[in-house]
Amino acid sequence: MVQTRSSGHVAVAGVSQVGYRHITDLSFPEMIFEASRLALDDAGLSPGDVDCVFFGSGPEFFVGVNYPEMWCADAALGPGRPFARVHTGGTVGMATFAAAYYAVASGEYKVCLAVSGDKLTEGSVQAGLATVANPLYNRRFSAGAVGGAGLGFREIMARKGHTLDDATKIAVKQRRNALKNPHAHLRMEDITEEKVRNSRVISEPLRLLDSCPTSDGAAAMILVREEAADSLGKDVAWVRGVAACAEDSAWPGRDNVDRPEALLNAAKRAYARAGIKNPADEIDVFEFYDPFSYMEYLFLEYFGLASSPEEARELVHSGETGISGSIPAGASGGVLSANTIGCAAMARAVEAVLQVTGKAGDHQVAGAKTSLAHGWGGTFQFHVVAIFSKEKPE
Amino acid sequence: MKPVTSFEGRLSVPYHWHYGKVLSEFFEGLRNRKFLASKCPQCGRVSLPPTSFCGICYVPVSGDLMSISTVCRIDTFTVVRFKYPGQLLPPPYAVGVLKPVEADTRFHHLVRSENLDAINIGAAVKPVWREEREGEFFDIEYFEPVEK
Amino acid sequence: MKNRIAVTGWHESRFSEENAAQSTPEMIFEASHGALRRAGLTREDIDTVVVGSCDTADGISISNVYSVGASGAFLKDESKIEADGSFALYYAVLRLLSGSFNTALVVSWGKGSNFSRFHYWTMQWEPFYTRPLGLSHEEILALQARAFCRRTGFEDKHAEEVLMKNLGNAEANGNAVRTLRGIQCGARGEMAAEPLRDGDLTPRTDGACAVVLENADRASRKKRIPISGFGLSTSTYFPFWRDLSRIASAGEASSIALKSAGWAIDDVDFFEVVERTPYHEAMLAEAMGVGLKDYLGGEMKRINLSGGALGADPEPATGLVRVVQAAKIIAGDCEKTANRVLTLGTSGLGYQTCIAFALGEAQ
Repeated sequence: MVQTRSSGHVAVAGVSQVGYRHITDLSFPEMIFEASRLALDDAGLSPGDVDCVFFGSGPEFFVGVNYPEMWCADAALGPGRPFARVHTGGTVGMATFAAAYYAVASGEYKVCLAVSGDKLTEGSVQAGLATVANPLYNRRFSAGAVGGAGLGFREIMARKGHTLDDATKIAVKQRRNALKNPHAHLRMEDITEEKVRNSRVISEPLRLLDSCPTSDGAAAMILVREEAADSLGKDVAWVRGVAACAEDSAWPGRDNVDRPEALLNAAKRAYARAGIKNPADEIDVFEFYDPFSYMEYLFLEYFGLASSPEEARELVHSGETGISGSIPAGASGGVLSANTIGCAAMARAVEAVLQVTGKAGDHQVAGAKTSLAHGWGGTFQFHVVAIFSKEKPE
Repeated sequence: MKPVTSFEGRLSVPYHWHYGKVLSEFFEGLRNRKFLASKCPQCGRVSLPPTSFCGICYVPVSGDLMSISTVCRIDTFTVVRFKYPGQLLPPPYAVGVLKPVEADTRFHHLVRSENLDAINIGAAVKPVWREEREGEFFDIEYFEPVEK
Repeated sequence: MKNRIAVTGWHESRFSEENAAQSTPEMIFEASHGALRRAGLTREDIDTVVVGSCDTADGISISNVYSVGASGAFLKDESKIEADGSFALYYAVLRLLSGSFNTALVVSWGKGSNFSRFHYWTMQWEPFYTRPLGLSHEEILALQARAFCRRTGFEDKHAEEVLMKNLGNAEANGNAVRTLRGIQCGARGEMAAEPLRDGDLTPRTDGACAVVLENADRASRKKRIPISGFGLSTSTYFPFWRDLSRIASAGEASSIALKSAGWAIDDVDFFEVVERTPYHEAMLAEAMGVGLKDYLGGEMKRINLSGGALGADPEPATGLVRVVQAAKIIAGDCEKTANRVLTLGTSGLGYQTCIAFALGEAQ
């Protein structure tokens, strides 16, 4: 893959998040409208400045409308513009951001809106996720995402040596971080390790507090070309590198535990595009897609931040992945604290942008200059990674 | 009076899915209590359920399917303890990721045993076939541990 | 975008009204594998894969979970556009123009026999006040057709001429599932939703198609079909809020595509459009600026040499099929050849959004 032509740098000039909670006072298009409007306001731009729009949301069965972007066209500045929906499952928020990135990088458009969201409390999430399974043979045995996570967690415990106690540490850390983020859905002031340990087992060995909540919400990002970013005269986040990788849901030799190929490739490509050689030193904030507590250990290893499962455990136990640690992971509380699916991955990118523009508020990582956002989807088979920086790239 | 804020809806969408030739043969095989697998001519990997192409080598996979052992190994498993719509059984029940000992791929299926301790990673399991078989994955009622 | 991107490979799986011999991934593999072969490339040469499909049509949430292997996307930078396949082509073109990728495979499919077309369309209604009315998409198409007839003088007999023209053209398209020979002349069937008859609606179709894109400098040594321009435009959601007698999104999309290619409408030799009824082909001709003269008793020579969607409609792949047909015309695979073809694809109720591609050398 050779970089043949560069059309200038791309920046994120505005972001927004609506939610994350059980949203009963806004319909789906109203929620999308709110996110789009707030992101434009944040960028200091008006609707007329937008050249094209990419829309993201999860499976249609969540919202219960086929092609929900068409329903939301008027809410998302669609009329009179290029307008299309990206849908890649859990990665959709990042995949929608990526589409907007390529749209601006193509040189065809100056300003692009990426807006993504879902209302998970209105439809049937587990039915939507259970229908990810192939109807031709394994759908009826599927237990949706939670069942899949139970299966995955057990295999990881067996092969990596991570224990329930290790998972408990992450569950507590992320729920404490969530208290500092006004957008976090699950807020537990009185969270303790004991509460996690005693929470109900939902899909063995996974416990309720190892898992994310079901949330409603939308997020939006305004991507602009270099000259437009410069003329705005405000702090923006520069996109240093975007990469995605896909693998088959089931293929001979597929190994999510010891060699998640798509994740490894996506990270490697994003680092290469951003010119990152030593991620632990060069990246200040990590926003992983972590709907289940045990996953942070995998990410530390596969993003090249820990050289072994033991080292990953050491980093977590010594607090290095906390907000004031050397490898802050999920300062926002992560997907563990709010999961809309439709914008859970975009929320990672929005948080990464907030961190390098110094606007993360109580969960701001001091002095953050470079940040990483990650989304995964399907059966842990789709991964998208993006790297943002405060400084304009060379 | 209750304020008007929302309404109840329901979706039910019918589908009619075609298996294709290879999966048709696979399900015919299940009706006859057989596991019919395919083998990629290039990388030699054995797939169950079988496929008509290899997505990695990106070549068509033709030729007859081969009958392999129905014994599988539990790679991982979970006991589902929460309810969701369209669920197969009332929880709790165990679902395993199973690898046929003579194939390179894995699939999900139900795992049952009188002795729950016998369900373990690495344990060998075999299908328990239904009396009346229709040519579908559920011709296997569930998998149970192979007695030693 | 002066000749920066070229189509170098394309392929359609075998289309039929009900393909019981192939599963969806098998159709996808046939199309993708064939397109690579035509381009003289292997899977290793492809940098990115963009698929255009619809979960509701596939009956699978996140249906690209099962298309990764079939579409050649294993360990590639893959994405999915949930719309007509021509919107996936759009995203692939943007990816190439960004400079991050040199080659792309674009794949789209629809297995009409697997899903209920009625649900596919009616599930597009918002649930609050239009869905409870139980309106079908056919009714919206009928309302548009009637409004168009009222404004332009287009009549039932003209619609029949368009249908017969397309089914006649479909004779030469080996992949059409409905042709003139297959139906009795004049037998358009019963009235479906006035003024539309059963025969005015497109046939249920199973099919997949794929297109290979390369950066033009890379593709220069071989047979290539430049994409010289593209345009997209979207209308408001409720069809009732639009002028039902016109398809504004088609007019805007095609004029943007023509402008970016530097073409005038008369520079275009042929058009390949997604016409969901004969009336809509005339509406599109008017919207794109071809004019209605040919459609009101004249000779309709420029649109849908392939027989169009009335010949085969594997929705939501139908718009990408138009691009494949355009490539075939330019490459000399068809009876008639030409230098410039404009394609038009659509998504949404009553042509809410349209996308046009200008294929052939830019001016």
